[in-house]
Amino acid sequence: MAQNILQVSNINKSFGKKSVLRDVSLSVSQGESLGFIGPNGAGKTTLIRIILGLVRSDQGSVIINGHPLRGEFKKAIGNVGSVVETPRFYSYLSAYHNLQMTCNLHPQVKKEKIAEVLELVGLTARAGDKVGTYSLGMKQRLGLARALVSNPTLIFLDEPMNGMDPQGMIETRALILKLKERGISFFITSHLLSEVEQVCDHIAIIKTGQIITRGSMEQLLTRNFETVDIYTSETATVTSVLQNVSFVHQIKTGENRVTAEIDRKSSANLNRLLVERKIPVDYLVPNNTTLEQLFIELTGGGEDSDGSDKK
Amino acid sequence: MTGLIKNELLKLTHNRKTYGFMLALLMINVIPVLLTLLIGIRTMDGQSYPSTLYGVTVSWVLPLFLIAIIAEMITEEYSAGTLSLSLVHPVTRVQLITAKVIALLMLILAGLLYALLLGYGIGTLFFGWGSGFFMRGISYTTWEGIRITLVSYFASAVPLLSFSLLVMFLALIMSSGASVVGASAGLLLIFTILDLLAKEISPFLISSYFVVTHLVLSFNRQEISFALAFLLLHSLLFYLAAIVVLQKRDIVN
Ligand SMILES: Nc1ncnc2c1ncn2[C@@H]1O[C@H](COP(=O)(O)OP(=O)(O)OP(=O)(O)O)[C@@H](O)[C@H]1O
Ligand SMILES: [Mg+2]
Repeated sequence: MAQNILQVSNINKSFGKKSVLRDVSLSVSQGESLGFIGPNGAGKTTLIRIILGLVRSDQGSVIINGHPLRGEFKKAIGNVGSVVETPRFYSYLSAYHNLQMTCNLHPQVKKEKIAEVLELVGLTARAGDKVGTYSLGMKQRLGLARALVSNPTLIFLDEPMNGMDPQGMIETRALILKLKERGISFFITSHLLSEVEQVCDHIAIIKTGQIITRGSMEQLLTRNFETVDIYTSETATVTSVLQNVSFVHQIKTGENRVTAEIDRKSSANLNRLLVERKIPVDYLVPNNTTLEQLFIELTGGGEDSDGSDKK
Repeated sequence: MTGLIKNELLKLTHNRKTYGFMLALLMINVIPVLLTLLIGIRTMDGQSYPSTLYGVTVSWVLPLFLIAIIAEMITEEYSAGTLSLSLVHPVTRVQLITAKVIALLMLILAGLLYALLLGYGIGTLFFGWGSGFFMRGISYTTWEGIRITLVSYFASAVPLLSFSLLVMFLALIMSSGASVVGASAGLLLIFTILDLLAKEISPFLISSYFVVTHLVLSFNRQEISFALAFLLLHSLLFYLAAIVVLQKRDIVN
């Protein structure tokens, strides 16, 4: 098993009397990208703030790159890049100066790096403009650039796609995948589950301060059965034919479609069966479990009952 | 740590308040000139001019400017979420506070230098250099005058820094920049009134140390030692208090 670049163990945190995180443990190994998802107010941002040392946990430990956050803070945080919530900037300073300020805090990083990351997020032409004149999407890009300035090996992105145009999302996704290839690990929160599904290889789901599921994307989205939509004009025939077939577990009949839950890898058998019985079928569409379905299934959807959407 | 100081200076040199302060000092230097020109009586010399503006500069203009800067540097940065930007890098909270204090000291020294240069420049331009240095009806030689002026101006950096630490502490415990400005300016006013009303408590008010001319002139060792001891304690108290407050704070912005 690859070495854990981030190890979070048994974190508890309350704000006043309100318990926000309960016994949260998770890990990210080298080169892994973890999608950390959960309803509004579940505690995602709070956990990121704890990992970055901005908020103190009541209990538990954080170890980054083998260095405990408490005790070896500088070593632990040295290889971490982050964007927490909407990225903040000194709006009266230019994008270049904002990045320079981050660069100044890492003596080993050369000034040339600033131009490099600006180019990477496509902001070179606007580098001299004050950040106050930037759009939300441009700030998101600049935030990503800032997270990259220090050559981090672990990057936290809290809602990185929020406010980006489709082009920006595609570029950001490509950029994350490219950085991942270079061995950089990611910790990403997002409500855009299809993005998470495309970018992340591991998932942790948090609900009202507790991790309810974690594992690899593949493992979580693979079930014992598959669902197949059979589009046909003869729904009644199909339904009766499938009634007594061993690999079919459940049948739902719609207007011009039958949805069947079947054993894994048995869609070929289903296809053969329908052809043998000479049933006219328009399409046979496999219906994979999406992260969205899994999320709704596990969280019951919507906002956390005792959570509120923080502005 | 040098990186943090560089960052503070980068912000200060791009801050509109800095230029507002420079403009305000310029106006304060020009107004007496205009009045003199209007009334038509020449009352001053260039070499005495900075020392006539010394009191208002170190008691009001600089403290008010510092209050505005510190409110922004701490409270407004906290609520805007920019304070946390530095803290997610290999620097400690103590270093952040210390870098801000060092940047403030540099700002104070630069402000005092600017005020001096402005005073000598504008005074000499309009009134001429003059034959000697006059202060409180007493005349001194030119060299003595320059010494008294320079030492007074720069020595005020110490009480001004100590005052800045008090404001910094307030900025850390308050949640809006406006309330920091209000509370600090109010405190400055109350201190000034108390200083006038009850002389016996003035040794314990930071504002009564801004003007140091009497110490420069008398050079009374006992008085100077007391002043330094008070300023040191005052600074240390608020510096440590600021550190304690920031260390405990959850940074949620
Ligand atoms: N400073 C604070 N004081 C009190 N409660 C807080 C504070 N910050 C966050 N909370 C509470 O902690 C809980 C978790 O908030 P958090 O911002 O971590 O949620 P999140 O999962 O990031 O939500 P979202 O998806 O909306 O960004 C919420 O119930 C919130 O109200
Ligand atoms: Mg959040």
